[in-house]
Amino acid sequence: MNDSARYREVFFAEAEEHLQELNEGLLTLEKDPAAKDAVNTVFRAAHTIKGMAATMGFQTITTLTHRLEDVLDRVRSGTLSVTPELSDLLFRAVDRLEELLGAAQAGNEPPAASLEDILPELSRWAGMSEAPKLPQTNEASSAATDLSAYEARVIQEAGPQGFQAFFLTVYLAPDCIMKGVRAFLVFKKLEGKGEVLRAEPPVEDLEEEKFGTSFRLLFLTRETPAALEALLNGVSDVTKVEVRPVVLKTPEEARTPDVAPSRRENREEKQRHLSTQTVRIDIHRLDSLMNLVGELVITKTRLEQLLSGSSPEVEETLKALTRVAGGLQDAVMKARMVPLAQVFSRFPRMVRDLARELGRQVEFVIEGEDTELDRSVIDEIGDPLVHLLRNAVDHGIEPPAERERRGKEPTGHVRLSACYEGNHVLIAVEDDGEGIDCQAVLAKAEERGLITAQEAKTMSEKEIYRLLFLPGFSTAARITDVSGRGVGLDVVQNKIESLGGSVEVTSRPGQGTRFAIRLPLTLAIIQALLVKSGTETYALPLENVEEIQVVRTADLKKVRGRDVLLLRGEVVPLVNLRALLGGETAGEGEEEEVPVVVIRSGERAGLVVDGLVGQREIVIKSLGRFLGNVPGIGGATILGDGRVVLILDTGGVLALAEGRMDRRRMAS
Amino acid sequence: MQRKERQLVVFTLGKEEYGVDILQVQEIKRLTEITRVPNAPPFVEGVINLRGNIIPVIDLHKRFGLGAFEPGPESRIVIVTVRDITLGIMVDSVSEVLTLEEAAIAPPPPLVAGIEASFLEGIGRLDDRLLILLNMDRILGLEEVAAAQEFQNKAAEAGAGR
Repeated sequence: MNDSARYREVFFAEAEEHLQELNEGLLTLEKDPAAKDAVNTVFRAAHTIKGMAATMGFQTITTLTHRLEDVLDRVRSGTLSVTPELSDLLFRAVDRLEELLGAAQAGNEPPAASLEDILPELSRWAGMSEAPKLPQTNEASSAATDLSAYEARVIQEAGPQGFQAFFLTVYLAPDCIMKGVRAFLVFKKLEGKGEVLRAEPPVEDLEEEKFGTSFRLLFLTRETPAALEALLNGVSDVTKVEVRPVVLKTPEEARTPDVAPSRRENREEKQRHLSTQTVRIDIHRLDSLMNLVGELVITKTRLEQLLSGSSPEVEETLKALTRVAGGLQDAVMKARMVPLAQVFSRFPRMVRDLARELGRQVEFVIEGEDTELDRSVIDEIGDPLVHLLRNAVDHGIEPPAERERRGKEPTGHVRLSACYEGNHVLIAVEDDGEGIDCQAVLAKAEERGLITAQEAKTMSEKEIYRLLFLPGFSTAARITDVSGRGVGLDVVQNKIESLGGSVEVTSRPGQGTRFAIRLPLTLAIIQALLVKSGTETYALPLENVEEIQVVRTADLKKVRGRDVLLLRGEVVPLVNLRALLGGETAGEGEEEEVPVVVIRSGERAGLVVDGLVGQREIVIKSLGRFLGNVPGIGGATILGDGRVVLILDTGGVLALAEGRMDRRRMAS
Repeated sequence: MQRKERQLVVFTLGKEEYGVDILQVQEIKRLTEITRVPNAPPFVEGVINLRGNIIPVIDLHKRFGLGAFEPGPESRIVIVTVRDITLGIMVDSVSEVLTLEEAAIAPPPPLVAGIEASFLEGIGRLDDRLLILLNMDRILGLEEVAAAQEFQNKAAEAGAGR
C-alpha cells in the first residue's frame, strides 16, 4: 500500500469516528441544549474533520464542515441556542457529511455546488450573509511546517534578495560556565550578517542561562552554511554547530498528508494516543492467527497423550507448553474482542429518527455497551438488533395518546442492555409497550395454516411465542416500511443460531416485551462436554449444559406419553440421545441409573446419554460444503488421538426431538 | 498428430474395475476410523480426519445399490477433489494407474453391472479389460450441492437486503 492510500484509509476511519461523535453529541444537545461538554465535543469533531479534509484535498467536505463549525461556534459562545429546528438542520448536515464521506471514499466527491440546498441555511444560522466568505488563510499549509505564518512570509519575501533562512543549532561544551555569555557572543557574531527571526529558547531565557547545552536559532542571511559554521565555531566553548537550510513548502506540498492537519490537533492526537495506544489490524490477520492457535491446541493435546506417563521432565515441559498455549489463546481471543459500543453507538440516532417518523415518544437507554464480544459476532449482531429495536418502537411502543388512554406516561421506554453471563453475553431489548397478544398470534398462525385449531387450544405461552419465529409470520396488522413485510423474527433467529446463540421472548400483555439474546463470548475454541451415545462419542458445548444429573431409571416419569424428569419441582422433557441419533448400543442391558445432561437452548430439556467422558477444550471445525447442514450436528472436532467427534447443536437436537424441523419446513 | 490420452486411477468395487481421472485424485489412504454422521444421506459413511481437515467419506457400494461394503486388507479410501469439494470414496482395492486413449472410451450402455447410466462417463477398453469410468459429479450429487449453495447465497442476499 502506498503512503497516500494508507493516509486515505486512516482519514476515512477517523472521520467515521468523528461522525459518530457528532451524532452522539447532537443527540445529547437535543435533549439538553445547555450541555457544555456535548457542544465542545461536537465542535471539536467538526473542526477536526474540516482540518483533515482540507489536508486531504476534499473541497466539498471542507466547505460543509467549515460552515457547520461556524454554526457550532455560535452555539458554543452562547449566541445561538439549540432549538428543535436547529438540531434538525444539524442532523441533516451530519447526514450530508456522511454521504459526502462515502462518496469521497468511493473516489467521487461531488462538487461544492451540490451543497446548495444546505449551505445557505447553515450560513443563515451562522449569522452570515449569503455570499460565502473567502477561504481563510490556508491554515494547513502554514501550520504544516515548522514556521509561523509571519516567519514564512518574511522568508519568502527575502528570497528574491538572495536571503536564505537556516536553522542553526549551537552546542556548548557540557562543562561550559557562563552559558549566557556564550549565547550573547553567538548573537554578537551573527549581528550584521543577517537577522535572527526566532530563538529557541527565547532570548530572555538564553540570557538568564535557562537552557541546556544547546539552543536553536532561525536565521535569515546571505552567508553560506560553511561560512556560518566557521563563524560560530570561533566562539570558545561552542563544540558543534548544525546548519540546516529551511525549505519553504509550496502549497501543493503542504497539502500532502505527510504532516498532521495542524500542530494543535497533532498535540491532541498525541495526548489521546497516550491513554490508549491502538493498532488497526486487518481482521483476516487475526483470523489466520486464530487458526494457527487452534492447530497448536490440537497438536499440544495430541502430544500430551503420546507422552503421558513419560519422565517428570517431559511432564513438566508439557505443563509449561500448556500454560503458554493457553496464554497465547487467551491473548488472541482478547485481541479479537471488541466492545458492543461499536454496534450500539449507531442505535440512538436510529431510534430517534424512527420515533419521529412513527409519531412515538421514546426514551432510549443503552446499558453495558462496554461488554466485549468476538469481532466476528459483533459484525453479525447489528442487523438482528436493528430488527428487534425497530420492532420495539414500531410494534411495541404505543402512540402517546394511546399510552395516556391506558394510564401510562406518554413517553415509552426502550432499553438495550448487555452483560456477561458466565461464558456468554446476554443482550436484551426491552420495551414497555403493549406486549404480545397471544390470541392475535394464535389467530394469525391458524390463518396461515401453521397450526390447527386443536393445537391452538393446548399451546402454552412459551409455545405461542415460538410461533413468532416461524418463517413468514408477522403480527403487525399494518405493513410499514419500518418493520418490513413479513421477513421477520425467523431471520433474526437464524442469524443468532448461526452464531451459536439463542433468542428468547417474554412478554406481559399491556406492559411490554423483552427479547433476550444469548451469545457465546468467543467462537472457534469452546469448552465441551464429551458424552457417550451407544458406542459413539459426541461433544456438547458446555455453554448449553446447565447441569448433570444421574437419575434412577425407576424415577423417570411419563407425562402424556413423553418421558420427563422432575427437577426441583419443574418438569423437564427428556430426550434419549441414542434413540434420536441411531447408532449401536454399547451392549449392556437396562441400566439402573442413567446420566441426564440438562441442556438449554431457548428451553430446557434433559438429554439421556449412555455415559459421560469428560470436559475438553475443542476446536470447532465445519463439516464442509458437501454435507452442509446436518440436523442436530453443529460441526466436528478432532480429539487429541486424531479421532473425529461430532459436535451436537443443542438447538437442532431439541428441534429434531420435537419434530420442529418438520413444522418449519411445512411453514416455508 | 497429438493423441488424446487420459490417465486413470483404477480401483475395484466387487468384481468390476472402475476408473477416475487422476487429476481428481488427491491421495490414497488406508482405511481409518470413520465417524458416522447421523441424519446424513445414507451413502455417506461418515467423516475422517485428513491432516486436521474434516473430510466426508462415501460408500459407493451403497450409492450403486451393490450391497454393503466389506472392509478387507486391500480396502482403501481414495481422496478426490471435485468442484473444490474434497471427499473420500471407499473402494475394495486400488490396482494401478493406467493411460487410456480417448478413442478407446465408448459411451455408457443404459445399464452396467446394475449401475445407472447417468453415474457413468463411459466404458473404457484396454486389451480385453473393461473399465467403468465414473462421473463423480453425478455420483456425489454435486450439481445439486452447487445449486443448493447458490440458492442459499441468494436467500442470504435477500435476507441482507431487508
